Amino acid sequence: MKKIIIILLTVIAVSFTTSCNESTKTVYLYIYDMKDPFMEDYANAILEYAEGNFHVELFDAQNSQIIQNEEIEEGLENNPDLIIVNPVDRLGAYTIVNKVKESGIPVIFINREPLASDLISYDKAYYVGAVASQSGIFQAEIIDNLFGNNPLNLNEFDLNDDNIIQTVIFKGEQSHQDAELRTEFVQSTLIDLGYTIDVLSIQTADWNMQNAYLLAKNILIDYGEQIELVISNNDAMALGVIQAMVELNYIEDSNLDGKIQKDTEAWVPVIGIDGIHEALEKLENGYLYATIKNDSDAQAVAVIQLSVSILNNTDFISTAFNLVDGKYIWVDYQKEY
Amino acid sequence: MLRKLNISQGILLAIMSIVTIFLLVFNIILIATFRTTSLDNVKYSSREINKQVIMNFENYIDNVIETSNYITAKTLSLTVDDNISALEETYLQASALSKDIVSIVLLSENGLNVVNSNGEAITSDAASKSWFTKALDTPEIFNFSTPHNQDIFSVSNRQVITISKAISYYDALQVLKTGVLCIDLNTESLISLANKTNLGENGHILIISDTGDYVYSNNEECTLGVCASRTLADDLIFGGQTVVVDTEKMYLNVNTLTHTRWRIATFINIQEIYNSQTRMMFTSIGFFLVALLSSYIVAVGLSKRISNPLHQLSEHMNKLDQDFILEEIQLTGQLEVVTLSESFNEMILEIRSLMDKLVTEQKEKRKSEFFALQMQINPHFLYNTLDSIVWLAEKEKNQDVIEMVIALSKFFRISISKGKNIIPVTQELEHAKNYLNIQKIRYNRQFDFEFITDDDIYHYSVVKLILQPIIENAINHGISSEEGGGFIKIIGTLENGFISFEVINSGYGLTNEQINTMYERMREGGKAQSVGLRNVYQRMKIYYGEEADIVISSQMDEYTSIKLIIPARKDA
Repeated sequence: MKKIIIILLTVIAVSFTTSCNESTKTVYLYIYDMKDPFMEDYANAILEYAEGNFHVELFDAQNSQIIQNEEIEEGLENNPDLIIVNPVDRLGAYTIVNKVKESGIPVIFINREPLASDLISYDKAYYVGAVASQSGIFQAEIIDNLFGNNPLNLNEFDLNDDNIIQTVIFKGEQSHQDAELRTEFVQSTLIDLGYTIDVLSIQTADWNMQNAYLLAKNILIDYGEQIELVISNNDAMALGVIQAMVELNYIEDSNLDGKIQKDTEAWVPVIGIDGIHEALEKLENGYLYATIKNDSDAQAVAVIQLSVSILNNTDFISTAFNLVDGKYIWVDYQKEY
Repeated sequence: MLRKLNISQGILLAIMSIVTIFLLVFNIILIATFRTTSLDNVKYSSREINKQVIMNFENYIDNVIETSNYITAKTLSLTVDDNISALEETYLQASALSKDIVSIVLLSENGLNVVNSNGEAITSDAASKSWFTKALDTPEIFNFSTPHNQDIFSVSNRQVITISKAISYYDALQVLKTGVLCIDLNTESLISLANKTNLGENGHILIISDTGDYVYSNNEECTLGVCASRTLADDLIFGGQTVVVDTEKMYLNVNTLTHTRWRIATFINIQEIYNSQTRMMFTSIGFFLVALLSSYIVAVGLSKRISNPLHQLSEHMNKLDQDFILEEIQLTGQLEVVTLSESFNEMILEIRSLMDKLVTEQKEKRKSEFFALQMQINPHFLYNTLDSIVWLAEKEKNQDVIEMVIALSKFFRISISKGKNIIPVTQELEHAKNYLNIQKIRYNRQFDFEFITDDDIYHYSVVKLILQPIIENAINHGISSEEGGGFIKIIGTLENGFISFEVINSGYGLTNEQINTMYERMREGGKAQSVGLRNVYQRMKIYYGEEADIVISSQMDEYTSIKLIIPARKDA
């Protein structure tokens, strides 16, 4: 009997000490779709930077809110210390907020911004992301630079020399918050800067390269030489447009060196957003004029810093980021051209 | 404790414990597997059904949004050219193409009509409607209202769901304006969509908006007020779990519907699965009990069959052990048991023959002992008598010689009695008288004797030559030649089936100590003194066993009595 008690006590003591040693916190990371290259980079960056800080478990919702709901439901049963959610449907985020509110687990939303009212309803709900409008503004600033910083007298990129920019816009998704804001702000900023723009066509290609490629082919047939500028809501669509332009020789590598010489070879400026890997390659080779880097790396750093402060229950102190209203961290886009 | 079990209990215990353990494990695994798999199946299929419902609604909503996006794009491009009539045509077509769409209207920021698919008069207070203000408050999203009476027109009694969104258009002055696009959908298609899925008996759907209002429920109770289902759905927020609604088990799934901020809760009846689970459990418990019972019966039978013959055998052994009853045994059953019983029987036979042999040997031994003892009696008496006859003849006492020789002849006739050991009591008494007559002459008639006998004893027989040695002792020890006038009395009686011969002689008598010594010598032998008493005692014991006895009593200076007690027997 004595022996049994001693063994029992030892087991309890050992399990107690081991559980004490297990102070590494667990964070569940829910990504809306790991097939999205941007989110893949983002998630990998979080995984990389989390090392040594806390343990991260990754869940891929495969672009289904139902799957994500299931994953969160099951995940919450294990009582993680924090969850980071990249919602599939940002409007549905209020249910996630309500769900975690019950268990008191903090939640950081990333990349897709829930409605402000939903975020306010829970004191441990945060958002880390970029200001969508900023990418549009940055695009406009690059365009301003491209056309010579003088709206009243455009440079040689105003092909027909009418002081009006003839442009085609590739929109991500009708009614999509980012798409709408990017489309709106690039135009309004240019107008505010004093430019006159002529939107030849707005094409909605659902963020998708293949869609953009097919639509661009038609557009090039319709408008062809008139097009002085292509504005795309993201890099994937920009790459689709470039593919179409290369096929129809609007962009042509005459000397076959794999690069486009802007002053000697056929070329049309295309501007994207996101700064994905392939886009940066095309940028390097001169096919893509510019992109606005949605800095997943910087956002991942912000997420890690915020997570650490939440997990350790300390104030958020960072030289790089500000915690706005105790809820938001806005990470700046980067111009790449 | 286990060691104290007998064979049948051991067999029973072994079989029953194995059977019980196996059946128990089998049953538990069966039930557990069935439970988990059926629960997993319920969970899985319920989630799939819910997914299907959500997807149906999503398709529906996507269609509406697509239409709305198309209209938004058209609105922007056509108003640029101030081609309002073409735009109206587009609105009309879009609403005509979908049977779900009741009306599509674009209102200005002030709630005034810009484009209208129906041509009906717009209500004057459109700008104050919640769908209108919401659209302007959250311009980036589509606002889905709950079902309500259509209120965009002055007159309408249709039930609709309003989808409103802030969109841009160019007014007549080519100024970019923000307006509110309002698409009214009839609720019928939503209801038919909800009712399309089979959710089992009493299964139902709740669609709840983010503000907690019902969009739709096909559960009447829920449309009237707060119901149990609603509470369950609100508590769960989203996800799936088993719940009980009105005593029926349901699987509840709640998921959000993209774009709308609605939650759809499906209650799928799974009572039947639980019932079948319960049935399954009872069946398997029943099976368990039946199997246990039948294996118990078989085990009992088997153990009985094995142990019963062994039991019989052991009982027989006990009999043999305690009562020494040698009985053969007839056992049926297993080969081993039959062999065992055969061996047992052989053993019994062997014991019997051994015992018979032993008995005969004993008999023989006793006979020879008996004869040997009988033979000891005569010789010295014969020599003494012959000496006396010689002496009488020398004195020329012819009469005495004649009497003595006649008595001697009678004496020996009876002594021999044709080799028989058992003689009638009369002959034994006759023999004793002859002996006394001889001795009386030899002792010069210095003593006298008397026989007092019951007639009853004459019918019986006794071992021969038992009185003569006792009388011889009485003469030797009781008759003193100096004093003279000795007396010997022989009393023969029948008491309670025992014949007793008491030989009493007058004389000094014996002390108790002397009597005890005599008993000792009589029983255990020892020095050759009173060989006669011992001889008689031993022959009586050999022939009659424990029943026969000799009792010695005496009164100092009066008499000494030796009493022979013999079971009365008539056999020859």
